[in-house]
Amino acid sequence: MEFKNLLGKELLFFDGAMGTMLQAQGLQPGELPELWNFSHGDVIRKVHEAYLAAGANIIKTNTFGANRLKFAGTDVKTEAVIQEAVKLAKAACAGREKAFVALDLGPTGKLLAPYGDLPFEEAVNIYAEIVRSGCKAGADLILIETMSDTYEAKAALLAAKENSDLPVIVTMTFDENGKLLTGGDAAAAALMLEGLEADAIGCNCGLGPAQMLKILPKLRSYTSLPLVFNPNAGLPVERDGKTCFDVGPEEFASLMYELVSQGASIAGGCCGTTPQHIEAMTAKCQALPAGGGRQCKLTAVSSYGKVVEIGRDPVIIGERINPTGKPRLKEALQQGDLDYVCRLGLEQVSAGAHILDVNVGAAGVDEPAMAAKAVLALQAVTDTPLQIDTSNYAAMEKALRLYNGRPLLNSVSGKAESLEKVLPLAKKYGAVLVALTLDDDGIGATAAERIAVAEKIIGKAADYGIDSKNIIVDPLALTISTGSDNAKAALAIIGEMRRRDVLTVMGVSNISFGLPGRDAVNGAFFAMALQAGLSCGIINPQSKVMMDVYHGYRALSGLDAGCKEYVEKYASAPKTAAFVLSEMNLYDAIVRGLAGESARAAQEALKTEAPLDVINKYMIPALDFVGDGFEKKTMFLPQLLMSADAAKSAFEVIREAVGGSGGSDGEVIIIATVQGDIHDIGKNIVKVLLENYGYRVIDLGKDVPPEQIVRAAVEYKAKLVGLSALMTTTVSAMEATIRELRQTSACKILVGGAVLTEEYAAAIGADGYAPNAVSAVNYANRIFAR
Amino acid sequence: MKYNRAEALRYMGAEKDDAAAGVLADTVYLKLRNEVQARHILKRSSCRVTETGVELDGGVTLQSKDLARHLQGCSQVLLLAATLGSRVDIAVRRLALTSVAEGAAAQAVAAALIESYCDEVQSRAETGGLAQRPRFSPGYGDWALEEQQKLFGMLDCGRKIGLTLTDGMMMAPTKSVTAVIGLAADAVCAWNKCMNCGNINCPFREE
Repeated sequence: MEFKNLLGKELLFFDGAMGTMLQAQGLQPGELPELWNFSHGDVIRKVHEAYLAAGANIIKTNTFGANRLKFAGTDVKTEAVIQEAVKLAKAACAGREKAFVALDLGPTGKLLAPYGDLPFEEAVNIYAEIVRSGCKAGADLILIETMSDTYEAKAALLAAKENSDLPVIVTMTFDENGKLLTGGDAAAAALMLEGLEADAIGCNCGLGPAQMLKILPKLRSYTSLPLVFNPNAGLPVERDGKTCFDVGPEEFASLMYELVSQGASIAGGCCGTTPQHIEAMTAKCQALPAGGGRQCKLTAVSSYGKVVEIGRDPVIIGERINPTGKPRLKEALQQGDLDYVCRLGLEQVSAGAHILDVNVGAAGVDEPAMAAKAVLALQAVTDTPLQIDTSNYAAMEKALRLYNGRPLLNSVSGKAESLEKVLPLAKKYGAVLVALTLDDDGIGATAAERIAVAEKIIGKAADYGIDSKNIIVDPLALTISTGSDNAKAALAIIGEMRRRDVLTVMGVSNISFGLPGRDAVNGAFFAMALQAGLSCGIINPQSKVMMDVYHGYRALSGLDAGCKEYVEKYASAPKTAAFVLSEMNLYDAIVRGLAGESARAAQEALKTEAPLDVINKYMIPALDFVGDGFEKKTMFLPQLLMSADAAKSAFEVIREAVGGSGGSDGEVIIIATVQGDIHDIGKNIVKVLLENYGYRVIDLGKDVPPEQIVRAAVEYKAKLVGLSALMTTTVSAMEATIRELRQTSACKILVGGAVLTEEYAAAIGADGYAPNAVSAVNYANRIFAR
Repeated sequence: MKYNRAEALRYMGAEKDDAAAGVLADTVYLKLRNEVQARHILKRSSCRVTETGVELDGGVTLQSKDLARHLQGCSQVLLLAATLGSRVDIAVRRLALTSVAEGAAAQAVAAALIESYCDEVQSRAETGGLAQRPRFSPGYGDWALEEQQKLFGMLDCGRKIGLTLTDGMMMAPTKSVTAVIGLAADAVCAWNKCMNCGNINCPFREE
């Protein structure tokens, strides 16, 4: 009998803890248990046999921590460890019915970038090596367990799917609030893992069975997959310096009975459980059926920590990260200024966007590379789910791959090429897919023609195994300025889709293209579309009209119980727009650190003075005054930074005024936090100050390898490179970077960071040392003779 | 967990009575507090103090003369690892994107929070009736950052609280602490944690 045929149909049992058993046999703290596969093979096999005798069907190989990072610097070969472990497990299973070997994959022990230093694709490679070895050795299935980070779980699951045909189970470790150690939650994890085609999911470790009972309902409502529970023998208790688990076999068995009754398909144990626990459990639960065969009807997308359900309540997709018709964004993309992209995202989130559309295709931009960077940058600052919006298939795959969650993908169309390229990607990465109702014949004029295209796409998607609930149809809003029935057609499609229980999404504002006073038409059309049943509106959430329509619609349609949210939103709003006549000029506003005032004052100043004069007459002197005060210790860091923020907001106004090119013609300075260092607040402060002085700062980020810094220095012919390092352990990376820079570039090198001193900086070969951000600016001003 | 504004202001490099900086810190605290997912591991071990270091249970030896001096007279130690979780790192980055002042304030507030959290964990710790010495962490004095690995090995930080080490021996999530706390019969300890450290140029040094 194959494992896959039993999964979800018959109740199966995992084994219990391996570590607990090995510690009882003398494994020392800090000793690598995986090496016992060689030194104590008989002990390992006996543990497996004890669990099988207790009634377990699936035993985990002793490979939890077996990866190349753990064995670095030793002569242990990962492949050999894996093969030995699988061999021992297979030997224990030999001759038994319904006994399966699960290749066990634990966490790498590293946090993935950008918050740790392990790049996503390297994590995939680490797991791929284990999977290939385990398959070769003859494992029956793969168990990815004790995952506390959805991103690492995704890396492991992709590796498993790309390197084997074996069934894959993924179990995550939650706390009592149902949160992962990295802050993700059960619903978001379940959605992502189901999208990536795990065969079963669940939880292990961290909690006892009683606490897992509270997480089970959440998993049940977000996935149709069979559920797996491998709890500890209760919560850990510290006693005399030892970790103890107090739930005994009988109590464990009773609690596991509850878990199985409520829907588990596989039950087993983790830390603190023994063959006695498993035996009691199998005896008690044996007669129960497996909890498979559920159908979850929900359509939802997720980030690592947030779920957005589609279909019940209208969803706002923020449209602003799209360079079409936006010169400032286009410039930012061409310059690789991801901070600007992130700010656009964050502004929309605070205005009420539930999902952010991300389209980074523009002339002069390497779209696949930029799509990857934009996804990484955005998910590093917000848990708002993303809609990946591109027609470039390479960019699509990169973004889908790096996305930490279940993405929304915009889009597939009825064109033959699009169907052929996009559907496999959507299937592999579990995307919820936007279907444009156009095909190789173009856009049909009537609703019926476009509905036919939608039907075609849904049919083709089904051929690839994509459920129709995960297709969202875009009726395409064509402007009414070229056809007065265009709105009617789109609304008819939305209405028909609603009757068929198919979800819809639409870029709303296109309806008024070419008309004056577009807000009036957009707002009315949005209301009509919502009333017709539109599930998601791609709009600008910073448009007051659109959000007024949204909130009004929800209140009117009974989606906002007691008009609670409506009242909350509008009761405190000012009756009329506050009319502030500011007396304060830009200089004072910056010195006092008032960002809003500075932006207003800059706008005011631009009415009568040239942009360059505004900068030179007000901004620079104000920044000089504050910087001077900081050096003389009459002003302190918070004031300096508030002034920097104020100057920045003024600068942004000036940039908009001169058509977006305010920052591109300044002298170039390259800055980076050196390799191995993940602390960048100091570098970021320096960046903002330098930009305020009109420099064009190329910020390479943190943990930057020397060769990348050298490449940038050469590419931009930089006269000045600034390096930051926080710790003694990373100053050596700084020294190496300086050495390499000297071989190819004549640039000046300025260094800073907590552990550095003037002498230390000189000793590692730097030209200058900046103890703080102001001195970094002063140094730059000297170099560029300002 | 207690929010110690005065400590946050000190980390911000502000003056004690800087009202604007106080408002900034408070604003940021309100934005951070719901992102905190504080977790810790506390483990007691016997210790044997030598000239050059400290021997712990399981044959682990921590190499540092300064640590050894700090633990003079201690028969046991508490090993501590604590973190505010990675959502705090994400929030700090988010705040820094729109305002460097808020970003820097968030760093400072989070640093103050993790210190308060460690104090609270220590105050509840089971010490077998012994008194606690101040925390001593890798990177203090001559205790090399590379020694972090030994603490991580003993405490299983990754699996238990999601705390990891980078190749450069930095902790990720960043708002985290590992430390050794000496346990001795007498509570007398002449040094606070700063005075025991060789980094006399540290901007945060407290006299």
